[in-house]
Amino acid sequence: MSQPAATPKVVAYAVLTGIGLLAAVVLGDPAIVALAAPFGFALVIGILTRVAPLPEVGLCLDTPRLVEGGKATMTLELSASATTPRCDIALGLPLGLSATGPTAWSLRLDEGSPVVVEIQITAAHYGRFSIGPVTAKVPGLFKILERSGEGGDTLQLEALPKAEALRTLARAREVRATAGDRLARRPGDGIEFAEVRPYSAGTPGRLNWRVTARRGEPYVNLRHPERSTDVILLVDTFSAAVLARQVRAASGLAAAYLARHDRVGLVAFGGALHWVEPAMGRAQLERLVAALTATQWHHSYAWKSAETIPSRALPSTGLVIAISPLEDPRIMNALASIRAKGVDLGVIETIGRRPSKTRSPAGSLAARLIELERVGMRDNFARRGVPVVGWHDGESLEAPLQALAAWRRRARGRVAR
Amino acid sequence: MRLSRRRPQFTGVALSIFGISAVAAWAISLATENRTATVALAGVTGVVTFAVALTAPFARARNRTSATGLALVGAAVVVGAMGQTAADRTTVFAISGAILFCAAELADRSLARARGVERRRGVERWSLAWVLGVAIGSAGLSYAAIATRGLLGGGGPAALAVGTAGAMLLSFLAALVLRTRARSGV
Repeated sequence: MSQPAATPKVVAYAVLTGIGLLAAVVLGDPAIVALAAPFGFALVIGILTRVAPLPEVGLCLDTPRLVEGGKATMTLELSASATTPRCDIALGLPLGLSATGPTAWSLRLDEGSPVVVEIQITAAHYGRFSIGPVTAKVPGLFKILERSGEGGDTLQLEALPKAEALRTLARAREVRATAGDRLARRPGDGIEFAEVRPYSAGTPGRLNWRVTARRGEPYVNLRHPERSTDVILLVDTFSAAVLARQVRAASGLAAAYLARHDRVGLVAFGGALHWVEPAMGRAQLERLVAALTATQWHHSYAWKSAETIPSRALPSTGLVIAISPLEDPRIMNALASIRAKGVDLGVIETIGRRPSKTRSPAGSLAARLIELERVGMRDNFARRGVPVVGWHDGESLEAPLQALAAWRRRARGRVAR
Repeated sequence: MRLSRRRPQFTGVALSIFGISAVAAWAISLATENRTATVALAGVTGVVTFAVALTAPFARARNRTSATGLALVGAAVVVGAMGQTAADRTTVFAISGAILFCAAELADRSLARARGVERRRGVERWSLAWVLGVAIGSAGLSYAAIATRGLLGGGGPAALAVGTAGAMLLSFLAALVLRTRARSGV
């Protein structure tokens, strides 16, 4: 138990009392003591009276996880071993969490009757948060002495990034041998009809009796097999400004691809590098969301290249979707290196809100210059076979994904011709 | 649920400044012609110092500066009441001390009420009574002590009776304090 400590009032009241007594002695007038007597009395009474002990604090959260923007209820239970006329309790919430009501209370505690306080906590931002312990202060009479300390455990609250439900997804060029939802281009065993072909040894498919009877030679029905693909989400963590948007986008993409039975992996590339190797299933979604929740911006001047990414986290047959504002030269260099290895790559460029039309001539010129630079950069990527689609703040991710899918369809057509 | 708002804090601070201003004004009114300037200077400086202290964000600075302000106002009262008789001086000092103490406590409590803090029912129920009790009690006790001193100065049966009563009162108070401390274990 913490011992009562003197507050700054002790010094103030002691000095006032001392001045009064000294003046009475120096001036030879005992009546002056009456002027300082209340301060002296308060000081003596405050020191002599007992300061109630700190209360026992119990903290509890109704859920350890919630989605960004969701609410959790926190319960604070305070029980005192002696009647406490006043107890000041304060709960400090980390940045990213907010409470709908007050987070500091001044209350009276009676022995044997615990006080329960409920707080609604809203997670304004994704992340892992530590809540507690609470700060408790029990002042004595006249606040001359005071007990202070911390109570309760530290609770962990995980706010998962809010993912957007996506319907359009870019398709990978290469498929894996395992079954999935993606139609492979080459024929095989599947459900989706592809074409009718004359039979030759080794041709997969079933005999088409009608065509065979009409043509007089065996024809078979070919089908597209459903296969899974590898998708790697590469999140640029060099820029703090758009990181939250990127994490939300990656979370939505991971959920959508995993729902289509693809293997999904994650590479967070920035000041700190971390990755999740591609895998499929619900457990993988949990792993990816946990990794995305822990994704943070780390300031670093160190040069980072694509060589630092482990090869098992970046399989060469998969589709890499990079989500980046394309502002840091390190990420641009890494993307170029990844593409140079022959990896199928698409970039979603996170851009701020669309500029307002009312702009000064100088501002307009600056904006045009910046846009010109960005167009040049996008063309540079496009020449290497990397589509770059812009994603403005406040807009749905569906539009850039459709643009990405369309670009890749067009590119495939050009290759076929 | 009762949230602390700006109004009670402002009212408390304003009342405390009003209280010590009244004491300073009283001191000026009591001062004789040749002391008025000194008393006025000390009084006004004290009130201003006290008022400025209340804007300090930290408790330590606030307490020290407000104590300086109170000491200045107290000095003004002492200088202002110098020309009075002993009985009048005692009355002036006792009342001024009580008002200054109440003002200091009121300001401290008002400023301790931070915004956004939920004050639940029953907090510090007897706190105000304690403040007034100490202010009035100490004023009365001081006055009684000074009066007793005057009474005891003459000697005789009255002095013996008062001395005996005072000794009994002191021993009773000492026993009460010791008993309270033994029970609380502090």
